[in-house]
Amino acid sequence: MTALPSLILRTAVRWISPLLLLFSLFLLLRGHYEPGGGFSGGLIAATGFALLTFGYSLNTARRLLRVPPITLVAVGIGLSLATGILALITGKPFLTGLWVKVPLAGTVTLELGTPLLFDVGVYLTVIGATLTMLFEFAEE
Amino acid sequence: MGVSLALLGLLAFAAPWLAARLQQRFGYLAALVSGGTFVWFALQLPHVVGGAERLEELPWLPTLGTTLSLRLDGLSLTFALLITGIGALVALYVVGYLENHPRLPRFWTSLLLFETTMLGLVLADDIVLLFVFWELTSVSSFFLIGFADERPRARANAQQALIVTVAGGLALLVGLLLLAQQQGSFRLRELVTMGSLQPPETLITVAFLLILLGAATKSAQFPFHFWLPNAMEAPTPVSAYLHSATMVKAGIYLLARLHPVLGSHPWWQPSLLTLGLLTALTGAALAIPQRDLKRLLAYSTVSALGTLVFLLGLGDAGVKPFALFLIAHALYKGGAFLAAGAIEHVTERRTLDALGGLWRTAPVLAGATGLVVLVAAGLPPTLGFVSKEAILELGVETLSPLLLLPLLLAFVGQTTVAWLLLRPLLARPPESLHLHHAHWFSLLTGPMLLGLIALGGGFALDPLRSLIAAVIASVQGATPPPVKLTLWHGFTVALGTSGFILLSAGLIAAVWPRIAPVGDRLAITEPLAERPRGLGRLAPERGYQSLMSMVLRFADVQTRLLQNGYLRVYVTVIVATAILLIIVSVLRSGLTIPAPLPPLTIVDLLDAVLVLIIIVSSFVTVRATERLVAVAALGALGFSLALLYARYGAPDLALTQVLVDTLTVVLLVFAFYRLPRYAQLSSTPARIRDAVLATAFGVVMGVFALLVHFFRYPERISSYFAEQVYEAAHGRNVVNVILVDFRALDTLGEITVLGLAALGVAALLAVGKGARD
Repeated sequence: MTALPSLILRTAVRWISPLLLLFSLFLLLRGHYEPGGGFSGGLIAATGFALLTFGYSLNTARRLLRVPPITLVAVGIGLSLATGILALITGKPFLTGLWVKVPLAGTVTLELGTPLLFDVGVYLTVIGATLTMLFEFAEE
Repeated sequence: MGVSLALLGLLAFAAPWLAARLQQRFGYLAALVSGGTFVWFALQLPHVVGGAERLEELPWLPTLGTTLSLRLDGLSLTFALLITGIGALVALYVVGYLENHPRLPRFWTSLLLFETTMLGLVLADDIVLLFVFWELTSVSSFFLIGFADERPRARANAQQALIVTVAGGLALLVGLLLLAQQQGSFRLRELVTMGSLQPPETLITVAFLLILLGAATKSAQFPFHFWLPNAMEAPTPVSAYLHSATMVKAGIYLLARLHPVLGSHPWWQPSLLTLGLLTALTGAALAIPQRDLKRLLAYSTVSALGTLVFLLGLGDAGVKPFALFLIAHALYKGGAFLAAGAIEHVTERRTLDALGGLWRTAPVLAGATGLVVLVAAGLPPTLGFVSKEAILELGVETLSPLLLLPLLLAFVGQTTVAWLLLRPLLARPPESLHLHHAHWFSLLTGPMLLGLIALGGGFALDPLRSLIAAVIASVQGATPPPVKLTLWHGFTVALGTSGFILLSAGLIAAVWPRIAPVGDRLAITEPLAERPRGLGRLAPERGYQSLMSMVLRFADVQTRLLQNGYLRVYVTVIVATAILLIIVSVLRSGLTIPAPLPPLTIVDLLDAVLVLIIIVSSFVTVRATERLVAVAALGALGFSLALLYARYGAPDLALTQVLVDTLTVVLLVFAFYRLPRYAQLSSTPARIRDAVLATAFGVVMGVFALLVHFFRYPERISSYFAEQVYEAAHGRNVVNVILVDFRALDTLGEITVLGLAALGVAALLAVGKGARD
């Protein structure tokens, strides 16, 4: 699809798309405590690229994504699967969450767990799947 | 034993990589490894003959009580020697036969996989393990028959062999499990020492019949023999190895192995004798008129396999000739196939009438072929002679004429085939016969060596005697008296019969040019045609054909019905099924809605407005005459729904709903460019039907939601999750923790589906693009 001739849209997209990507990461990371998570985060990120497709062109969106979207699907599913296998290796049932405590300054500790990695996999899969469909449709 | 299996298996899996690098030389490596295992097995001979079995065990599925247990006794040692020895020669042969073939690595993988699994089959002591190897040999046979996969017939015949043997394999599995259940052990050695129950239980009879079915399909017994001549589509070394010397004897092996358990079953003798004789006769009769060298040999293999089953049916008396014939046949038939392949390789011809004069033009090849013929015809002093004398002696002395006569006829047929192999050497050479370049060392070592071993076997009777004794010990389940084996019996009735067979077979071979046209008229010299004529109309293969066409027709009907490609039909079926299932399960569960309904507690203006928007926009969606209107209305519906979610404490759901709706609208807008004009295609009755269905679904889902709402869970899962969410999963957002931790497996499934859907969309649009270009 050729770029829409709207200057307003282009200007807006130039600011909104990066913000949407940033917001998607925010949603992904806060998901464990507040509304959000990999699924909605992934959809937001996909929206960012959808806007780029509208405001600029399909090629711009493809170039900025850097990898073919279907690769993101493969990496995403692979990552989620790998976190499950990680649990198997440690002798726990498939997909059991594993946690480590990383001591930060003073008494503050950061708890990191495989569910976050799993959610990153979901995030990537959702972006990849949505954009695969979107780009295919947008292709003229 | 485990080491030799592992070594061969490793080589099979390394073949794609190694064969691509070593090219032809990989064949020498394969021959070396196979030959090495042969030597190892040969070194075990003194131990096994001395009565010391070799056992190896590895735990495999301990919870199921299955172990990787291997056992080497007389019977498995004989088979192991044949498998590895002939395997080595065949590997050497492939070097010359498939010289510079582009798909050699694939061939090696299948062939070595076969060798590994066949060896595993005869060594396995656990019946589950045995079955696994059994099926794997069928699979590798499938790949090898279909090796020339550009030929439709090779594909079809590979499929046929697979379906026949695997169907039998399924029967075998049930039979073996029944037997193991009834006798209380999965170990062959325990089953064998237990002996059979007297009188046998009905279940044992069923098990016996199923096992017999499995053995009969694998070993090409009548009426399942048809797959074997069709398997000749495989490259000739495969025919020599799998389809005459080893794999087709797996059924025979199993029957021999289970003889101590099932041999005293009252049905054993009658069924094996009948099956064996029928097969031996059918194979012999169909072999004689064949023009194609390989089909000729294939039918005579069928006949020989029948003979082996017959000998097993005779019980203890038949075991000695059985063991002798087993070894002799593997040697000469493997050799005959290899010789026939060499003839084909240098002349590029395979039909008997088109060949001749090779003794002058290719003397070494003719010599190798002649040597094999000596053994196959059973001339003294070869092993072929010794084995045939043993059978005839038993037959003449103990069998009733009713059994003896068909057996002799089968022998005449098999001997005729041996004589016919001389035609390419001695017949008048046809005008245009040219010899092509050949890798003589590789092509002739196999048949030469097999022929020489069979020739020398007649003299080296001492090691043979002890091996035969060990086989008899395994098959009879008891130590036998010393085995008598002599090359020369003096002028006995058996010798006279043998001479008579040789003579009459020679006569038939001499008038063969008159017999072959009869075979043509009866339509038995060609593969079964689409529309069979002559005897082809009676061929058991037609049963297979009609079964397969029935399967295809059924698949066709059910595909048209269920997979017709119309999205509207799929949606209708899915919705209707869902309605039905929900109604049935709700009625069965006995859930009720309390009557009267408690009054609605939270009704404010915003809720009412949202509900109103949802209702109105769903009507607008359905009645819209323009696509953009429909999409916009659908969007309005989705956003209102999302607002409702947000108001009733499901922010995650609301967020996702909004995003999904946004992206759906975006996707639809893109898709507009591709869609045809928005037209009303459904007739009024169809629309009414759809309306009824949609309303029914809505009502059912509504009632269902109410039912669930009023159902009192004895223990609420949500409170458990709420408790555990911070304790166990270190999170506060229950919804997300459920998604990524508690029920992560579901999510993994969902994202896989999502990825597949994306792939599907991409593939469909790519197809559309291709169609437009």
